[in-house]
Amino acid sequence: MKEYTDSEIIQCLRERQSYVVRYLFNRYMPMIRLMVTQMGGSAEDAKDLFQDGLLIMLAKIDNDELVLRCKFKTFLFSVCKNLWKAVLAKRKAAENYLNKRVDIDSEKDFTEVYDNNLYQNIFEDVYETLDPVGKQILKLYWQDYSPKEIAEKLGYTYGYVRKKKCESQGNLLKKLLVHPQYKIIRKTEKAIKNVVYG
Amino acid sequence: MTGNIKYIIDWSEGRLKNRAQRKYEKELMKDKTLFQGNIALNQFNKYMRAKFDLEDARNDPALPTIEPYIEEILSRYNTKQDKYRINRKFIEDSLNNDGSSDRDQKEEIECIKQEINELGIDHISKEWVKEWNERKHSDENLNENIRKIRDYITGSLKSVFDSTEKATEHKRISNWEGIHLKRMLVLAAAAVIALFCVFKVLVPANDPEKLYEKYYEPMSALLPVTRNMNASLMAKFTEGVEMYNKGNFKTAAIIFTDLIQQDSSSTVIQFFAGITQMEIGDYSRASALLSKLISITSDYQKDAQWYLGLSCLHTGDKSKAVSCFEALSGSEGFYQNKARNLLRRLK
Repeated sequence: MKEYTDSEIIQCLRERQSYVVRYLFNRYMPMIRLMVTQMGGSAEDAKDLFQDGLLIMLAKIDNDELVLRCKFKTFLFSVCKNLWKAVLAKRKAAENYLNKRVDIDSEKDFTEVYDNNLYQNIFEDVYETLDPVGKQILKLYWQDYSPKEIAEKLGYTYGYVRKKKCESQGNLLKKLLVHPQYKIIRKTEKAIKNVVYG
Repeated sequence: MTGNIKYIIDWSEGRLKNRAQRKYEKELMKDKTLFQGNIALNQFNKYMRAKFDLEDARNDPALPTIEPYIEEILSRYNTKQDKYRINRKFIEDSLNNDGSSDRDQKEEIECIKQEINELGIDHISKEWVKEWNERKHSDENLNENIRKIRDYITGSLKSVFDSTEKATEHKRISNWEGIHLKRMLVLAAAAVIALFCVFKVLVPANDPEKLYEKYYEPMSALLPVTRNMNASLMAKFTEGVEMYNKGNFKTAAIIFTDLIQQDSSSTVIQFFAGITQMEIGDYSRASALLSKLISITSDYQKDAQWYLGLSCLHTGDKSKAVSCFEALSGSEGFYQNKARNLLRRLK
């Protein structure tokens, strides 16, 4: 089971409990980062966006105006997505105003973009090699279902789910570490470090 | 490597006991393959979790219905308003203090140590220091150069040193005053403790009824997500929650009782029915409703445990109340600290 329910999150934010902000950051920041990078932004953009999104929700919670008709995660995603669209529109407008073709992509660190895409492709490749049961179990695990909930959902025993989950993670890790592209990217990172240290 | 993989998975699953866990964390520093495997697993899990979170959010059927509401909120978003500045500080402070930043720093330090081991930097830097010490004694010009370099560095850092010195001096003065103040405070504290002991003896602090009054608050009810309800049930349920929020508990109780008869399996209806019964004073019925929920995994399990505990305090079922609060105090979340405080008073 996930650590905080949506109603707990709202109550903790209303009472300004710092640990819930850190929980939200650790739990949902990767999702926001993935969304932003898929839409042309950087990890830094994602961090600013996450904070802005949380700011807006805090203001609504304080005024008792927050009507949560969906999961907190969905709400946060939607706020951040709309904020990001506004940012992109402003950048585009600024580019038009200055009457220059400012290549937005060139402002980003292209290595960050390239590495992100490469890692994502590798992870997807490796995940697809799993057997269907392993994929189902791991998918539910990543969606914060406990082994007991996964067992109930899929009709397996608790013991089987735990064993299969560990086995599948082990397979994933083994395949990841021997994936040719992963080995190349690790070697490249090591080579860069060696160049720096001479 | 197979052995390492099992080791990494066992650690990430929390299967290693304390001593084995500490041993693993030390070995991470020395064993390059273990270290890389650990990083790879974390990266993988983080990415996959993010990917499925994103899919989940994008495919949420409620998303199209909330978009207009969110667009309206954003149209009124003005970063210059005071309320946003204050809240921004709260968020930044929360993210900068303790927790993840400490963890990030520790991870970074581990990475640096790993690099030092891998590249033999320790050996290189020892050679540099040795060479430096030998040259200092033999090369007269070097001392002049050293002096110039030192002046440059000291000059650059002067403003930092000045402010540090002022802070140190201030601290020294404060320390002396502090010692005198401490003596006075110790005497005052002794007097307070004596009074407190007398008070504790004369007034029992673990009166369940008093604890109930101290800790009970109606729930700040948000309209929860209820995908399994049909439209007519949903409409009725919404009305019930609105009645609860407005303080119209008798009407809310009637609505929820009616809804339970139509859908007895819904945990959210039972939960709201339970807390509404507490408001109208039927604690036995409240306890009966909430008891069914504490063993069912749901979004309201912890809330049900909390309110059941309070309801049992009111009806005098102290042992059941204690078991509810013990369960909450052992699991991280909103109720953990409250439950611990309450338990201290109860026991």
